[in-house]
Amino acid sequence: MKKLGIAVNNFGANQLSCLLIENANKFLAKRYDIDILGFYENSIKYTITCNFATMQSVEMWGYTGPTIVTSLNTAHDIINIPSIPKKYFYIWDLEWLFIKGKDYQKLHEIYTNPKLTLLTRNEDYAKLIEQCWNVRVANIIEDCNIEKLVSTIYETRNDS
Amino acid sequence: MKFLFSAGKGLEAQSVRLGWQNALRSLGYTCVVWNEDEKNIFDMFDEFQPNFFVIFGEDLDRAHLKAIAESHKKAECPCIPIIFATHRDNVDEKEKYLLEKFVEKKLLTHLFSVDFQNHAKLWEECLGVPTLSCLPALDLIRYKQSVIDNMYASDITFIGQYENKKIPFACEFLFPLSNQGLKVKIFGYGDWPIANYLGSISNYDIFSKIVFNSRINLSFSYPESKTFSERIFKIIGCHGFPLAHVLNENHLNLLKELEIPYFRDGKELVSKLILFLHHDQYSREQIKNLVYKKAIEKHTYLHRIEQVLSLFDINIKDAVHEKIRDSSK
Repeated sequence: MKKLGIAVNNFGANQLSCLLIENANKFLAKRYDIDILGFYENSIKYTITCNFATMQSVEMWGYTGPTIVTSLNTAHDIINIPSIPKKYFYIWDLEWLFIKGKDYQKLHEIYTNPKLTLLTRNEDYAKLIEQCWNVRVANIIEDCNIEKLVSTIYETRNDS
Repeated sequence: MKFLFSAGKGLEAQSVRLGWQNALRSLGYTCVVWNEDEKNIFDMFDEFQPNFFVIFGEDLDRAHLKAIAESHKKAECPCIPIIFATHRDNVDEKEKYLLEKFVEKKLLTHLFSVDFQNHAKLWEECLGVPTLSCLPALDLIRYKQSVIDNMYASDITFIGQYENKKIPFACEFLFPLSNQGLKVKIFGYGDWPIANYLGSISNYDIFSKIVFNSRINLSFSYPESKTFSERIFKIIGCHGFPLAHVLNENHLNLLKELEIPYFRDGKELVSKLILFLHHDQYSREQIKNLVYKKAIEKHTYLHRIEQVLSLFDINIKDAVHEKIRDSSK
């Protein structure tokens, strides 16, 4: 069975979590060949019941499937995890805009890290990311579409 | 020779202090920065016994005055204060009051202004003490040429602190550039309210990479500040291509002397950007090299130190020339 890990800040009431859970539930009702595992940084009461397993993000250290992270914090955590074969950073929010007293070097290390493949949610975000960080966004996936995320990870030519 | 420095309150004072320290250390002198929170000035003088006490006007207080006076009485080689008047348009009243006390007690032989000659004259008239213009300069230790790295490439870069007073100028010069399809990047302290503000830079290597890999490095300030910022020399030191905003006549003369490309208003900025962005690599390199060559002829911290120490009958001309020759190789 193919694996897919998705790390978020929390599974509470926010747009990313709601879309992720809803889309993942729909996807899992149709497809039985993918095992989705959700990782959260903070445990918050779920707004929608997940039909997939969830666990604390520290468990990513033993995970062996490709993993998508969705925030700077989770991206920072995943970079040095050796067991994860493919690491994707799905840039849901342009977080560097909201950080107070930001340090360029730390942000640069994450956004331009060769271990992370960048994905984002729309054309404008992709343009801004490419302009600011001199990196290529590999794919644009709207509204946390799990089907597209899975196809990006598993159905590209060089993937096993 | 031993130099004791006051820490400096503002970012600019700290930057100038670092420039001085690096240059003095490269000449083999001992430099110590005194942190007023950790040790009182009297203990510092007793333990370190400096030959020179370099203090910024904004750091001055009565304790310094007393400590220097005592050191003059006690030590065989008395401490000579080098005082930098901070860069304001007018003479700061608090600084003036304290400096007058220094003059009264005959502790002050020279004063140095971190600004152009006209500001130095203002102090000279005020205190009756010879005042020298001692502008910020090029720090050959901190700012060096970097390597080509596409990860840091940009069309236009501005590195500077975000302040309320800079907003009108940023709105006129800087922000509209982002909408022209150019890769504009802004760095510095103070959370600039714009998407291409990418944070502060705390590492000199990264600073050099950013400046070196940018096609044009803007340098601007607000005219009321009357501040001569070290920024332009940082750009030159990293072999970056500078484009400076003219603050006043004295500033313009300096830019002309160093052959630095400049602009006076938004219109001129756009025309110069179009001109320089269309330059090929070779002509850009030529301009950069010429500016660097001019800067290291006269405007490094080593030159400033040589100028200051010559007033105290200390000649370091040969050592300075040797250092500059080494660094320009």
